[in-house]
Amino acid sequence: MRTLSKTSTSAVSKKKISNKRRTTLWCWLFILPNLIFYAMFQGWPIIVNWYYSTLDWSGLSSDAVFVGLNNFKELMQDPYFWNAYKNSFVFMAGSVPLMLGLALIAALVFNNPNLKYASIYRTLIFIPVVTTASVVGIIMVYIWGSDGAVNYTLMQIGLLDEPVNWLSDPNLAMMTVILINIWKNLGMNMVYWIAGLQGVPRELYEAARVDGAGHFRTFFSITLPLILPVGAVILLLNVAGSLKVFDLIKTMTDGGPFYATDVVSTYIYRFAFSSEMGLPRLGYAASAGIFFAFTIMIIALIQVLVKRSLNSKKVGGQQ
Amino acid sequence: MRNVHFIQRIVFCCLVALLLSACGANNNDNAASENEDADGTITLQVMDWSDSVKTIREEFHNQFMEKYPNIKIEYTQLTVDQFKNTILTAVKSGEAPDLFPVPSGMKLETLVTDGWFQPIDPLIDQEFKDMFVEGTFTEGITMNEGQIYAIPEAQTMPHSLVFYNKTLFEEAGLDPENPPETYSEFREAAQKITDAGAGQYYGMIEGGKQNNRWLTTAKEWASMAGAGLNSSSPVNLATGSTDYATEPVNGVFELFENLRDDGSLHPKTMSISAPEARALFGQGQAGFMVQGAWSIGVWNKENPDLDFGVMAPPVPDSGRKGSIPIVSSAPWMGIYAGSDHPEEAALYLEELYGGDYFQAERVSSGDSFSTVKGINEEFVTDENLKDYYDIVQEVGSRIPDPVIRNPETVAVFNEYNDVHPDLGGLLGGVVSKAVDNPEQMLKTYSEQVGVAWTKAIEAAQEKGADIEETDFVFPNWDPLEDYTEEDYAELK
Repeated sequence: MRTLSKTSTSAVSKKKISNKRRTTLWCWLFILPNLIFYAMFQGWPIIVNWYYSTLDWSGLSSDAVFVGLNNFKELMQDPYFWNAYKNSFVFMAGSVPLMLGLALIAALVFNNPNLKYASIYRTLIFIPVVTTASVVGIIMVYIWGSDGAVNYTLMQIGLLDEPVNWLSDPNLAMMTVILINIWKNLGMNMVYWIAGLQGVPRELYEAARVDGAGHFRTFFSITLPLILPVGAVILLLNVAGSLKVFDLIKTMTDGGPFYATDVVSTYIYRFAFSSEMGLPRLGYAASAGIFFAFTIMIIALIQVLVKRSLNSKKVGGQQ
Repeated sequence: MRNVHFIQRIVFCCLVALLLSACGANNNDNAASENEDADGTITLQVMDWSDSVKTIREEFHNQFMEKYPNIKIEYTQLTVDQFKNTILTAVKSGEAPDLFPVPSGMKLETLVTDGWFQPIDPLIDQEFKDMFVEGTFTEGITMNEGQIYAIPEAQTMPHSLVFYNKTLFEEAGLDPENPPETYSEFREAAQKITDAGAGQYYGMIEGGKQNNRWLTTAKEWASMAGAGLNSSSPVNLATGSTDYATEPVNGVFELFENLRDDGSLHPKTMSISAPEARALFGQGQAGFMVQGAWSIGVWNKENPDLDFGVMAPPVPDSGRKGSIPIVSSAPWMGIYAGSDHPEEAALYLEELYGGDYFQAERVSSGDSFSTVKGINEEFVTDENLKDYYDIVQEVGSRIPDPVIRNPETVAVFNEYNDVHPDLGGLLGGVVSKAVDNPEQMLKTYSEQVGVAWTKAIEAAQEKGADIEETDFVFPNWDPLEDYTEEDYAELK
């Protein structure tokens, strides 16, 4: 009897293992297409880009010459690369705080269950998100042009005496592009924040109200601490998204006037795909891409480390 | 459980089939069968960027397909940049169209070596070759090792002449029959037009977003002032120097700086492309615009009420010391090396150049000048187009071409890495007020071009090209005269 029971336990355990294996196999099978496509369209290009960055190659002809780290050396010596590098961070620093802050305010307002037609307002703010960035860029060139709607309105209300070249003045172009980027991405960030806000338990608000806490106290003592982890994710997404901006700038200013809005993506594009004389320089452009990707990786790493350290402090505090 | 196994197998088989079908999609047999229908109809794929003649081209295709019902034409028109990216991928994947042009900035020899094009000679007869004007087929330009690989789209004409609005001239009190000739006169006229416009129209408009427009203007206007520059070489071909910080170049920069400070440039100039600027000029929003002959046809069609004229670029107050550079006709359409239908592709070329419709219609529409003998004489009827041609004959001259002198010099151009920002970028920077010390910037640019040029020569020599720095110096070149075959012979 005892032997029988032992055999039966062993069979059940074997069956469990077999089921577990089968489940794992199924999981891998469903992940497989995604993995294959990732390897084909992301993994492989990243690997091959490392190789390209060591070549003096136009990308058009077959005569690629191995030049080691020369492309990187040249890149470091190009003041226009550092200008584009700086502009990428200016764009990020100008966009992200406002995008996060304004989106949070919008989320707090439109998450209010007592607000009528909240979903309509949310939709209106979200519409630019689903519009292609290049289409937004092209339309904005007209709206912000010297005879566009912005100048017309500002002149009508007496804020301007004469039209301003928002996109062709080197002192204003970056600010204009940043503003449009904020407007374009506000809706997405608002949705993220709303998701975070809806995860805050209602009871906490009720308890706070019973304890006599006002709106500001409730926000800073309950809402903000609880949605901060979501905020960290939104921050990471926005930082990465802003640093790799391309389509909006390409269509609105093409990096100009005279490199005032030139970011690393437009710098890479210029070298990889266009040349007024001679051939494009795909190898050099690849080295710029690799260098910048490395920067973004370091930023992401720092952000993850900071987040972990904050979390561990939080856990320590709770203990 | 059996059902689960069955579903598992089905899913697995589907995935494998999907992968295999993806791998097999690049198969040449499949590609070939795609271009030939069951009824024997052949699909000929054509790709280019000739937007100014799109309507005429489509009509040509309709007529072609009517004449040859067994050939169906699939025509794709892209922008220059789109084309460059697309054709690279297409050639690499073996799926390039049957007919496509040599991408701008690329030398034919490189592409032939890389197997992009096949020779056209075996597919055409002598009669077809004789149809073209002299100089159409040149070794190193449209020919490689004695064989024709590409045909020019049209006769190469400089595109830095100035169009002016006669109506705005009259409103500003200027004489439309005597347009300005010098920098001072040009500046004054632009200012008068701007003043008369009072915010409704301005002295001048350009597609400032397009760097190539500034580059053309900077090089060709400076060349008229004696800079010895041209669009196909980064060096002064008279001296072999890469010095851009010269009086003629500085003069052009100063003129645009003055136009900017006078407020004579349309406020949209730096935020629009050339076609947008052309449209605004057509609407009467500016007095002057630098453009190519192709604009005439567009304005005739889009703005029939526009009363405009064409004039030579202004010269320094001290007078003209050079010419607008006329370069050899650039290679354009060729037949893809992997084309399944080279005979039909050659037939397409024969009809495009030798047929009754396309060349005649193109020229009479005012788009450009044909490379086919007799067409210009018979079909250039537009007065402005005639004027354009006459002005080019008067102030333009054929410049020496290092590739004609020594075909191996093409290796240097292939090795040359463009310097950014280039001369056009700097001029655009001046107009947008982003460059406040153009003279210093030009000096730095000259040094950078010098380094890049020397590097290109050394690289080409290392790869075995039999070239010398002196191959790019033509001491017997008079910038006010055409550089002829006798001049080339004199240097040998």
